[in-house]
Amino acid sequence: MKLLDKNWIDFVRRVAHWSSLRPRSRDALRSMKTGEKQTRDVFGADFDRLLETRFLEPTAKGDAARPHPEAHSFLRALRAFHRVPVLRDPRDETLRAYLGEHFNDTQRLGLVANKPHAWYGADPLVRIRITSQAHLRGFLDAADPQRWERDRRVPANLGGDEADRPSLGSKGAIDAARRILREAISAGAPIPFTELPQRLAGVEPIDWENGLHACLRFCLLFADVDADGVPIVGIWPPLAKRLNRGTTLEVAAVDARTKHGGIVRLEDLSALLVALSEAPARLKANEHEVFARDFERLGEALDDSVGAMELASGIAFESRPARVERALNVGLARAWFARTRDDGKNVVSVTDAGRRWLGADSDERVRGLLGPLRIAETIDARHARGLRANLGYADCLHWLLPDEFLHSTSQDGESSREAFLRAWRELDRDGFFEIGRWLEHAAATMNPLLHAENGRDALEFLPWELRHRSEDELERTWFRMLASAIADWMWPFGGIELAVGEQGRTCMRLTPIGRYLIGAGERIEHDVSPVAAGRVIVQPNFEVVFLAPSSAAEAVIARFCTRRGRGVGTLFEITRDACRVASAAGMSADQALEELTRVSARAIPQNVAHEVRAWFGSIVRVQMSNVEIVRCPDAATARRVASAAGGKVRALTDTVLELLDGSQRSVLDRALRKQGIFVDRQSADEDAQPRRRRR
Amino acid sequence: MSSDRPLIVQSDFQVLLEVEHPRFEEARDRLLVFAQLEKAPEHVHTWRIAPLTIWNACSAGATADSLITSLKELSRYEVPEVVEREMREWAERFGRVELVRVDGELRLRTDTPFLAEQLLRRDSVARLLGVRRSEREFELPLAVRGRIKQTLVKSGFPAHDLAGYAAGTPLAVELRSERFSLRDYQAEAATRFHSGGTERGGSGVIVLPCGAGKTVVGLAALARIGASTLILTTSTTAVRQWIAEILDKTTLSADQVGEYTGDRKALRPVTVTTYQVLTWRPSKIDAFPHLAVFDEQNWGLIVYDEVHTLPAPVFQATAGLQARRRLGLTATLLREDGREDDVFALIGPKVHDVPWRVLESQGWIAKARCTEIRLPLPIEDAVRYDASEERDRFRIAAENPAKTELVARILARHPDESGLIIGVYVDQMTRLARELGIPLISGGTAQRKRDELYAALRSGRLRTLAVTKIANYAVDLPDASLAIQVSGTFGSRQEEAQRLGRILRPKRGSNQAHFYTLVSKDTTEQQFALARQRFLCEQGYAYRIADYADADDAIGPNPV
Repeated sequence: MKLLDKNWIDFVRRVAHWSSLRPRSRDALRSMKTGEKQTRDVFGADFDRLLETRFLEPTAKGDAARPHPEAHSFLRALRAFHRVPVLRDPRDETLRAYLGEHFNDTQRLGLVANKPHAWYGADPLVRIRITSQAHLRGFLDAADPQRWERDRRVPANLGGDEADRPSLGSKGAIDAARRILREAISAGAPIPFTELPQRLAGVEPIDWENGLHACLRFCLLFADVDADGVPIVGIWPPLAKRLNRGTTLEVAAVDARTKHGGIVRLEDLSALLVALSEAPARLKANEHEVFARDFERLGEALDDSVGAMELASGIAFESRPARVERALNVGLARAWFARTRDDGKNVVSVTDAGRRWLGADSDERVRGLLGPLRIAETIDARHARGLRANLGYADCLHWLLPDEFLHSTSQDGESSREAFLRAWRELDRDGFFEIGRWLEHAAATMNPLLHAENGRDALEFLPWELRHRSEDELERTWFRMLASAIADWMWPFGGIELAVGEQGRTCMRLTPIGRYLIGAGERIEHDVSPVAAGRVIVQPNFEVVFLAPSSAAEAVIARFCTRRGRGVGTLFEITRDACRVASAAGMSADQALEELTRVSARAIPQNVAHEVRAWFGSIVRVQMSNVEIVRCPDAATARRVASAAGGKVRALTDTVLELLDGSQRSVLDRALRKQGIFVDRQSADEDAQPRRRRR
Repeated sequence: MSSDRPLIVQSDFQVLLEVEHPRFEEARDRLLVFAQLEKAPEHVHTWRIAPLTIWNACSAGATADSLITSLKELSRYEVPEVVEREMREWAERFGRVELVRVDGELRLRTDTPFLAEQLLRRDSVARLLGVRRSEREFELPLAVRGRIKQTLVKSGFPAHDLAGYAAGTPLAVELRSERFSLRDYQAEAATRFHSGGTERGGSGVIVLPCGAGKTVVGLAALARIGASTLILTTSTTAVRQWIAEILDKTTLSADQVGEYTGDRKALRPVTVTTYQVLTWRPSKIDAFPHLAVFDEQNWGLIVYDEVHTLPAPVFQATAGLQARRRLGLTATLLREDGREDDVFALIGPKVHDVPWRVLESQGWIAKARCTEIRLPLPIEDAVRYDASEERDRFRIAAENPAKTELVARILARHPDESGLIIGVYVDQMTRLARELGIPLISGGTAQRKRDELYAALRSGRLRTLAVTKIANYAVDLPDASLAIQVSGTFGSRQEEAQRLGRILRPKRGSNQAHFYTLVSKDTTEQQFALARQRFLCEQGYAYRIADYADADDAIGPNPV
């Protein structure tokens, strides 16, 4: 116990002397152990003053000095402050060390419950509790501060420390404690002990001594030394930051440049539909996992300019494999893909619904993709059915948001959902907003983990795993959830447009799709007409140039063109391969040209139209199936076989016949046997080329 | 976004220019200074900014600030930071190293001692430097003037060559103004090249489209410099055309102009030769005997025609000729081998560039209509094609015999136009010429015969001529307005440009040229034709594709 046995009036008086010493003298004095001697040379000019102020006492010979007994407590505290930089380095580890340094078990654990049977595993809770706003506010707003103190002190009959004196016995002490606390909050940073008498002018010393003791005893304040070794006192620094931030963090529109939009997920799905139309992807036996080679092929089909967008915007997107995985899941959920059997193998292939979606017009495709993701729609539908809205199981968020979000909402889904939507609706204004600023703002002021409904202490009502997190962590948790929603939901589905603001900060603004997704608008306005969406030009050299950004037009064109860029500039090239793949996926040349004509501000050049038709038309489909053939030794036998089979065989050559109906094989066998013609069966394996032996 | 500005600057250093924009011409003229036009299709042109283009601009006196300001004033969206930063860096590097002459000695001078140290640490540079004369100055042997410029360009510090030129043997020569007058752009090109005779001019490249009269610009430069001149060009035919032009348009007499080719080797005050002659050698291990022609006379000017085709040995020889004035003439600075930096270092920076659209709108070159007609292979050839190895297929498709009939139809539809039928395979061209009853010029045709046939075509006595690839370059056929390409060298863009260039001389009347390409449908030839098609579209020519069934519509009405 280095902190709670102090006479704070004496401590503050000593701090005043201490502060006037040279740094070298302070270091020497602090490091002296009880009874250890040091010569005059070590302290130089400070030596006499230290004797005078009773920090040191001279030895018998008078040429050296040892720590004065009256200063032992002060020096012990200083050494402890020096060891544990709780205010200089406010982390969970330093806080744990601080509590271990200055408090015994009953004092420490009593801070969460004054009944020892409830202490099991309570240490983390102590740290969370004492660093929360609720702890501070609880004392400041307590109607009965003495009871507040009693609730945090273990009685002597239950193992409490008898020497642990009550501090809030008088009104003067309570007022002084609250005044010290408010001073510390308004200062925003730790205060040197020496400033306390001045800040508490008019307060009786005994009252502020008791008040200060209470604040330190119940971890409303923490003590440390500053960089110069001078003792300081202050509230938990992250908490001070939060309290001084207020509740009205403004998120203002900013100037932004280099904008990036687009519906990455729509393009990913389109690319996968096209790639799977070309050839289904094989699944591993008894698993739902796509074979590595096919998975790689699907990954290669995805547009790679997302990387450039990431670099420009500073927001990391999913890896390519994750994008494939995500797009496959969406496609399977929408029945645009299906797991089927093809030639005896498990595959993922495109369904008719998938082909229809791919060939649909832009607006229909966007609605088809986004409709089920819309938060408001899902929740409203649940309300309409009289069910408790629960984000955790809402379709839209179940696979979009991180697990933490779902867990956090299991007990208090309403407020979580409302806070989530409210944060997004803050952006439903003109202009771009800095993402970092918005996240901080939302995490601090619209954080359901911190601000539970009915004014109850949020910590009490959080799920178990979140209850064991400090307010800082809860802020960071909500911050991360919203950031994930940007990266996993809003951005890939075209709900926001990204841009670079001042000093390279990433900014965003809601698009009509974003408004639709959060239920703030009904119209998707994914209009691809050149007037509304920007100017697109198809050039005779097959390049497609965007003179203004249009994510809608990009999504349309990406189906049958090869992407070269994003935003504005030469974004696509119409290529033979892309057209062929689109054709294999069910698109027609007319559809492609119609889409091009719709988005292009100029007529499609004749040579481009001609080539597009030629490329789409160059797809030829052939059918491959197993047939049964009968090889005869000579033409006469072949004629006899044909005669016995009636119309069930067709002559391929003079001696080779094709059996048209395999089910009649045994009938034919019998008929032939009667004529003395016996059938030697050859298995498919024998028929095939000899295989290489596997190693 | 400012839609009143016509440019979009991309972070890959491409600049898109909207053609229909009211400020198109202003933007184009400003881009010409510091960017290279890469593609000029109908609606949006693509320019590229690169170190060489910036150094070209700096050599003409531009600064980083002026270039970036130009770009910002014209850009619809914010100029990407990386583009601005790199442009500034490139521009600031130009001129940090200078080649100067001090008391008759060649010196290399840097702007800071630190840069001098940096250069010393580069082996490739250090081994060319002579004695260090001061913190910033080195002696330089005269012989390495070209090589050090090459090396410095590759090191990213292009040298500003202010060491001046040898005057060369004086030659009294003037243009015959009574016979013709220089067009404005030709006069301006010559003026910029000459730069009043100072060391700031005298070496560089003039970029003019095919048919715009580059030869005349060369003659104007010759007249301004007034010194003995060596002219290098691509073929004997081109040599003779140059000589004819010199005799026709300058006051020089026949005995002052020499032909240095395989046929004749006459060195005169003005000598015209070919790259082939200069780079000929008895065997691969022998030296190039004719490269000595560079040193045979005290040349005051060396003209490199079609500079983008300059072969490597000529580059090497040119490195030792940096004291001579050098003029490069070309329709494009782009080289298939990527040695644009050597052209910059050894011949000089671009000094003048006139876009073909400007000349077309002024009527100085003909309008070209490009038509590709796809015809099927006859069934027996189709079977042969399918059964062939990949490498043989192109030739089978290119030699499609059905093309002969189509060529005849096209010729019939253009009865009043003289033109060329161009192919690469001698067998095919021989057969085609025989069946159509027209003369053929191939590699085996004697030069005298070639000259006669070209002359007949020029005079109108002959309407159509079949040629192999020997006519790709520098054959001047002023009245040819029709070209039918029956086969090409795979997807060569350079060949396409040169072939089209044969018919771009301004024409009387509608000033319209027709360029037909016959391609076998659904074959590898069609795939290669796509590269050519894209190239022509990127050059800005209207391109039309027709299937055989619609050929008549594409060719035009039958005059009969």
